Amino acid sequence: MKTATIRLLIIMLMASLFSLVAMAQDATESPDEPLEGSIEWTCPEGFSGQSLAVYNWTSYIGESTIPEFERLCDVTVTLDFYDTNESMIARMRQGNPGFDVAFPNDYAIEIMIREELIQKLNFENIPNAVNTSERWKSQYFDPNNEYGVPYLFSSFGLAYNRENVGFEITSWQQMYDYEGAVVWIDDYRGAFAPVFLMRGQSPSTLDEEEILSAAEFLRENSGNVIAVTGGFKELLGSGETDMLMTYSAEAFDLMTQCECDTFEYVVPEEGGIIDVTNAVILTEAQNVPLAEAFIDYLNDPYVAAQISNDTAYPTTNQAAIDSGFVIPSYLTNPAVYIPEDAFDRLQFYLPVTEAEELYAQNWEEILIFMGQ
Amino acid sequence: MASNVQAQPKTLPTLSSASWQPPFNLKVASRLGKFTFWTSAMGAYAFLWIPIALLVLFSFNTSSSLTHWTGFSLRWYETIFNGAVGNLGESGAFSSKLMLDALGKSLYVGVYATLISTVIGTLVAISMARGQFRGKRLLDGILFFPLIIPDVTQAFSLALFFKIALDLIQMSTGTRVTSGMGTIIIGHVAFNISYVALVVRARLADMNPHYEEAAADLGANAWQAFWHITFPLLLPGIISGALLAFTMSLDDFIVSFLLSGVGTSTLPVYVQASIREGVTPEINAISTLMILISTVLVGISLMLQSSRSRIS
Repeated sequence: MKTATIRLLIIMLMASLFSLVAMAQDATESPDEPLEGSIEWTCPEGFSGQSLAVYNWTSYIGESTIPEFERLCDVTVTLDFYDTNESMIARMRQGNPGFDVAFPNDYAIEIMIREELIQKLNFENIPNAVNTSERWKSQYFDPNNEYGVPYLFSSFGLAYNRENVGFEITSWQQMYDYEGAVVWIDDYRGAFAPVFLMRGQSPSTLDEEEILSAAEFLRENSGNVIAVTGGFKELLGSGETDMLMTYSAEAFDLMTQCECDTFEYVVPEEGGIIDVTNAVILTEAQNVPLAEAFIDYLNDPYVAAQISNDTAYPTTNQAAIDSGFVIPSYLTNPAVYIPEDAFDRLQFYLPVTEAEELYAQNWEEILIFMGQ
Repeated sequence: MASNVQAQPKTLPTLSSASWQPPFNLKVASRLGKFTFWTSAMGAYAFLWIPIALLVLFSFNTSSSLTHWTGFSLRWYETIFNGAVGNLGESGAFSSKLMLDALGKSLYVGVYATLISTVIGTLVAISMARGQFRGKRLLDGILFFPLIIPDVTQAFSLALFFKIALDLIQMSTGTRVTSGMGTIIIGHVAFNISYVALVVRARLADMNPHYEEAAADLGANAWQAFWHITFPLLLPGIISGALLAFTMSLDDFIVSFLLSGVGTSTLPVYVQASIREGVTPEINAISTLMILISTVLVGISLMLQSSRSRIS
């Protein structure tokens, strides 16, 4: 009798354990699946057999985006790559060898408009441009929304190891005050920006006083800096540093690679930097109508969501976000989709051409005295 | 005590015999010498090979970290395989496919640039060594110019040249010609000729010209003498030159970028572009495969060369 009760108890316990495990699995799996969907966009007639040349960053488009477009329009797409806005612009200044579409950043768009390296779009052929969130329209680089259709964006803030730091980080000031090892970004715009933001000044200031004073601050607060590098995420991942200034995409890579939840990404309360790329059509493009069709296709809600899901960059396409096609956990991860309230704290970089030398010179000096 | 003093001179006459002791231990010295040779050679080899060994090692890393070993796996090779066979559902296969496409373009450029530059370079080397004409010494000096001017300078000069040349073609014929695979191959040929010519000339300098004279004495015409005597003797040099040219071509970034056109992103261009968002061990795996392939190729060419030299 006694053994029978024990047996029964064990069976009940096992059963409840199994159901718990099953529930836990349900809980982890089901909410992170985006809605099933399909491409609604249809290719306009008459493109069959034509070709399109896309000039892009690496890992900056969905895996099936181009094959699907080729299938829908019966066209051939060639994909080439550039590493920086500057090198792409340098290539275009020599004359466009036949590229149709490119994806420059905000400030680069301004340069390309000024140098006539990109052309105005015919929005009659890009009806899906209405899907773009109002937030990204009429920005300083393209005030009348004539040249580009916003594509993906990202932010620049702070990533940290919550376990090692032991408390929540919400401000740049905390990074400068922190006792442990921190890593700064290796470009002077990024290194200076937090100081300006902390002081309520523009991160693109041209004022000599402000720049010199910020440089002074950086010199005095560089004691806990162990590295100034572009390959930063490795240092945080390996535990060599607890905190670093970084781009949201880097922080996201770090979170996914370690398969842990010790890393946090935050847009500090003083503010951060935001950047956005636009799909543009280059001057001397070989196939403008097909390029416009391609940009329209990129803005189909399902296509835009797929691009965001594959690249882990947030899309500027509001219809894609509203559609439910975006991976739900991305929408709540600040390293992908920035929290709504953080947008007010983010600013674009503006060109600092006139003060470039002053920045560079002071940055060099800071680097020399770093860590002392 | 006195007897002891007398005993010493007796041993002196045997100074030149084997019992003489040098002021230092020869055995130790020779060991020390051997050790120095060994360490300096090993040091140099370590310097050369440790980075490559690390690259190969991390191509088998479980995680995507390039600096922290977490365990052995073949996942990056699997990714490349999936990319190669178009299994795009698998994770990472998409970027592998793009990387392999880029590798394909690199090989395409490399093969054509090597073929053209090997033919031209060999002809130039032979005419410089055997021909007699005005201004030869000057031309001889200029030939190796591309080896001493910086890559960037050459790339910019080529870019400038093509911009002007292509504009001229467009103005005179009305057809639009753009840079692309053609301009990249021409650019690579431009710097490869010097490498091929240098290696072939070195081989020519070693070669005894009397062989050709003997062939002529025996009734061979110039063409036969070249084809049956000079060419087989030169072949190892030509192959070495071609391999060098091929390597330079695969390596090149700056010329390939500045002369690029639609569909010309070679592997170095792709890798450079992807550094921004972090390189994954896929590139290690592809590099390891390339090292393997080039080792096999070099091995084959060495075998060919040694069998050739035995015949001749």
